[in-house]
Amino acid sequence: MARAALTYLSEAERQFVHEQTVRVLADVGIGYNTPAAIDLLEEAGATVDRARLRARLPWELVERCLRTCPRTVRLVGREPGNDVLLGDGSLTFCTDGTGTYMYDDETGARTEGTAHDLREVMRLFDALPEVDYAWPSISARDLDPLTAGLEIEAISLACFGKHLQDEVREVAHVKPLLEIFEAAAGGSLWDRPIFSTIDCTIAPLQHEREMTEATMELVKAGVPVLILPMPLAGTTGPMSVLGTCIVNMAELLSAVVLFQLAQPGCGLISGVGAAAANMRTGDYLCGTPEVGLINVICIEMSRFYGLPVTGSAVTSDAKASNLQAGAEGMLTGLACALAGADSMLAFGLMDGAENVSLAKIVMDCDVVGMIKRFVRQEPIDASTALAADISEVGVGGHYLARRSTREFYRAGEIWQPRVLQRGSFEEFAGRPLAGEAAAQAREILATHAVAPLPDEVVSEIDAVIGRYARVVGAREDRIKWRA
Amino acid sequence: MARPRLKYLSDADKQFVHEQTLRVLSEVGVAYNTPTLTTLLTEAGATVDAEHLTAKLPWELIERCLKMVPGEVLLAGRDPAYDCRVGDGGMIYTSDGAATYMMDDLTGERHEGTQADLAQMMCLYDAVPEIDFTWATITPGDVDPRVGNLEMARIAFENSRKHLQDEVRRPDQAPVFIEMLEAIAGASLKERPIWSATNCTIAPLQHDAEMTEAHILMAKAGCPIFVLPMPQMGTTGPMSVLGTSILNMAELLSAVVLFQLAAPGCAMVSAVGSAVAEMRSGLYLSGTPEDGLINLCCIEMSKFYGLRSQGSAVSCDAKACDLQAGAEGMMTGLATALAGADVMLAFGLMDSAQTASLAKTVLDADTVNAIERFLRDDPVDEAQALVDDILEVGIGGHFLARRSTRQMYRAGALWQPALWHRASFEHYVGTPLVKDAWDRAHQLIEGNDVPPLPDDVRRHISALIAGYLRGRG
Repeated sequence: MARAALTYLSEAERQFVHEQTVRVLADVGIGYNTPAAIDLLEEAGATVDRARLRARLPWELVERCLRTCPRTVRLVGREPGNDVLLGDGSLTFCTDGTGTYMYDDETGARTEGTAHDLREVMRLFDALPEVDYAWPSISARDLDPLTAGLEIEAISLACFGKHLQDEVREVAHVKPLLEIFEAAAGGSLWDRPIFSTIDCTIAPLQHEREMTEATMELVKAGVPVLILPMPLAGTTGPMSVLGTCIVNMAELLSAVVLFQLAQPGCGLISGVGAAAANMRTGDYLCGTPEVGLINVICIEMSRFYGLPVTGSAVTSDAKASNLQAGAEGMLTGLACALAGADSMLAFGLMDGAENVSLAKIVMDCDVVGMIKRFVRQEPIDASTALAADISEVGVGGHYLARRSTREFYRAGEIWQPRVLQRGSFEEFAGRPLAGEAAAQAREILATHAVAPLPDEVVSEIDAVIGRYARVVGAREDRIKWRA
Repeated sequence: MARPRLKYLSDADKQFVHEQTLRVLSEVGVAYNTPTLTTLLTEAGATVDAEHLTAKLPWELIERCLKMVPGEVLLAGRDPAYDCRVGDGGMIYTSDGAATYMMDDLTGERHEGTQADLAQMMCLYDAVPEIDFTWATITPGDVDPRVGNLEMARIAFENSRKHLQDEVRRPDQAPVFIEMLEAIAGASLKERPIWSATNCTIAPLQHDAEMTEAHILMAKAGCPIFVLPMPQMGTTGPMSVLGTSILNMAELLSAVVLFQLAAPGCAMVSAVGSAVAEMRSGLYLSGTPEDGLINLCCIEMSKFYGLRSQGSAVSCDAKACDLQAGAEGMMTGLATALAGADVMLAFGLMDSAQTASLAKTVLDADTVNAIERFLRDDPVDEAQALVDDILEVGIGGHFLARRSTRQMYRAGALWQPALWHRASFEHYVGTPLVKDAWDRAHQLIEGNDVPPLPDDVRRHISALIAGYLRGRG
C-alpha cells in the first residue's frame, strides 16, 4: 500500500526540539494565573511561585501526565452516525473560527456577523458531508453579550447535528452549558461527549484564568479539550519557525499537565494554533508557508508525545475567494495531511480568520476532497497496475471500452468536485466559480433540514438560559436563540 | 538541516512498478514508427517488427541506454546570464504551454492567440525572475502553420533572453532550426544549447515518426531532449494512477533507448506529461489530485532510473484566477516539489493549458515562491530555536524588541509575497487581486528592455524561414 506522507524532523532533531521544550518548561515555567492550578501542580511536584501563580514543570511530571492521556479521543455527534474518533489513523475535518464578519463573494462586501448568520453557517455545515465536526464559525454580534456565551452554543446545537467544539470563556458558563449539553446528549457527557472545548493558551507561556478554570471544570464532566496555543512568529513568538514551535509545544505540554492533574485520563487533543505575524501591522497571518511548516513540526512533535493532533489549515489571508485563497489553503492543508494530522480546521474563513464566506465553505469542501484523494492509501499491485489492460490494449489503442475503466471510474479513481469547474471554457462563460459556489450554498440552505432538537431539550435549554439571564441581569426578551 | 521530505512508493513498490514497466516494454513493445531506427534497434538487441515499425525492448538494452544519459543538463540562455542547469541540486522553473487562447483577466473573455500575444507573454517571462527558461506558451493563429514553430522560436528569442524549449515537428525543419539557433547563439548548439526539445510520445506506446526524426537531428546537434509522455488516465491510459504511471514510464524508457541509440550520450530529461481525462468530454485535466499523484509516482520512478525529471504543475483546469486555480496549482506544485523534481513546468496557463494569462503568470510567481519557502533547508539548532530569547522574554512578554526578530525577519524568516494580499481588508476594497496582478504584468512588460537580436541575425532568420517556405512550395 502506498500513501503520500511527509517527514520533516529527523529523530535527532525531534529529540532536540523535545529537549528545548523541556528546558523552557523547567527553566522559565508557565504563568497559570489561577490558584486552582497552583494547588494541583505543587502537590504533583512542580516548583510553584504562589505569588505570581506560576510553575516550573520537571520532565518527570510532564511525562507522567502524558502517560495518562488517551491515544484516541471520541467526539460524539448530537445525531447518530456523526461520531468521530481522533487518533485512529483517519483524517477528519473540522470548521474554523471565529470570524467577525460575513463576506459576500459576489459583491465583495462584508457585514458584522449575526445570530442569523450563525444559524445559516451551522446549517450549511450540517448539510455538508465533508464537515465532520464544527466550531461555531461566526460571532453573533447582535446577541446580548450577557447571554451570548450560552446562546451561541444553543443555536449551534439546534442547527447542527454533528459534534460541536468551542471555547468556554467564563467559569459561570460551565454549569449552564453542561446542563444544556447533557440535555441534548440525553445523559452524561462521559458517555456521549457531544461537545468538546477549546482551551487557548496566551503566548508566551501563559494560561488565561477564566478559561483555564472553566476547562478544569469541564474535563471533570467528561468534556474533551482541544488545547490551542497561538504564538505568532515575530510578536508573541520568536522570529523563527522552530522557536515558535517550541513555544507552541511548551504551552501545549503545560496544559496537558494541568488538565491531566485536574482529571486524570481526560481526552486531550493537541491543536496547532501557532502562526505568523504581519510585521507591519501585527495582524495574524494564517496562510503563509511558515504556518505550513509550523503545523508540520508541531504535528510531528505531537505524534512524538502520543497525542491526537488537529492542524490549522485551508484558511487564508486573502480578501476574497481568489487564487491566493486557493493556494494558501492548499499549502497548509496538504502540509497538515501529509504530516499525519488526525484532523484539521478548514472551511470558509479568509482574511486571517476575520471573514466567513458561504461560497468559500462550499469551495473548501472541494479543497478538502482533493486533499483526501491525494493522501488516500492505494494498493501498489496487479489490481491497480492494470498491466493486463495495458498489454491487451497494446500499441495505439484506447482504454475507453475497458471494463476496468468503467469499474475504476465508478469506484472513484478520478475524484469528482462538487463545484470546481471542469469542462470547456464556453460551458462556464459568465459563471464565475464564487457565484456558482454561493448559489450551491443558497440551494442547500433552502432545502436542508437539520434533525430538530426534541421539544423537551428545547424547553430545558430555554429554562437554563432563562435562569442564567435572571442571575446576570439580562433581559429575557432579548434572548433570541430560538428566533 | 530539516526539509520536508515526501515519500510515496516504498522500495518494494518501486521494484514492482519497474517490473511492470519492463513487462510492457518487453512483451508489448512500442511503435517507433521511424524506419531509420530499424537497423539501430535490431543491432542493439531489440526484437524488431520492421513491417509494423514496432520493437520489444529487453531490460539489458534499456539499462545500457540509461547509463549513457548525462546527469546534468545545460540549458543555455540567449544571454549567458540566463544559463541554467538541470540537476545541479536546485529546482528550476519553466513556463507552461502551448495555449491556443489569450485571456483578458479583467473581462474574463479570451481570444485566439496571436503573434503579438506570444511576444507579450515571452517578454513577461523574460521579466519574471522566477522563470528560469521558457516554453513558447501560445501557438499563434496568425502565422503560416507551415513555419509555425520556426516563427514561434523567432518571436520567443526576439522577446526573451532565456533558454527556449519547443518542438520541431518535421525533420526537414531541423537543419533550418539548427542554423537559426546557432545564428542566435553565436556558437554551435553543442557549446551553447539555447534550445531544447519537448519530445511528446503518443499514448499508448507510440512515437511520432516525423517528430522523432526531427528531434534526433536536434539531439545530434547538441540540443537536450525532454521526453514528455502524455497518456490520459481513462482514454489513452488505463483508469488508474498506477497504470497510467507505468505507461508513462514505458514510453519514457522507450524514448531513452531511441535517442541514446541514435545520438549516444545526448542530454535527456524525464518530463511527466501524463494526466487525467474528463470522462464526460474527453478533455485533458491538469489540476486534479490524480495529476499530483501521477507526478509523484513518475518523479520517484525517474529518480529510480537515475534520470533528471520535470513535473507538470501549477497549471489548472480553472477558467479564471480563482480559488480553484490556486488550489489546483498549489497541489500539483507541492507534489512535484516534494517529490524532488529537478524542473517544474509552471507559469501562466489555465483552462487545462488552453488559455494563457498575464495575471496568472505573476500570481504563479508567488505560488512558486511559497513552495520554495516551504521546501527550504532550515537548520534545526540553537540558532533557529531561539531558546535564549524564549527564556529571556519569559512569561507574558513579547518578541518585537528582540534583536533576533529584526535580524531573522530581514534574513527572510517570514516569506513576503509580491502580490498576494496581506494587509487589512479595507486596504484592498475595490482592488481585486487579479487587477493588481494584471497591472503588475503590464508594468513588467512595459519596463522590460530585452535587447533586440542583432540586425544581421534577424535578416538571417528571415531569410532562413523564407527559404524554407519556398522549398515547401
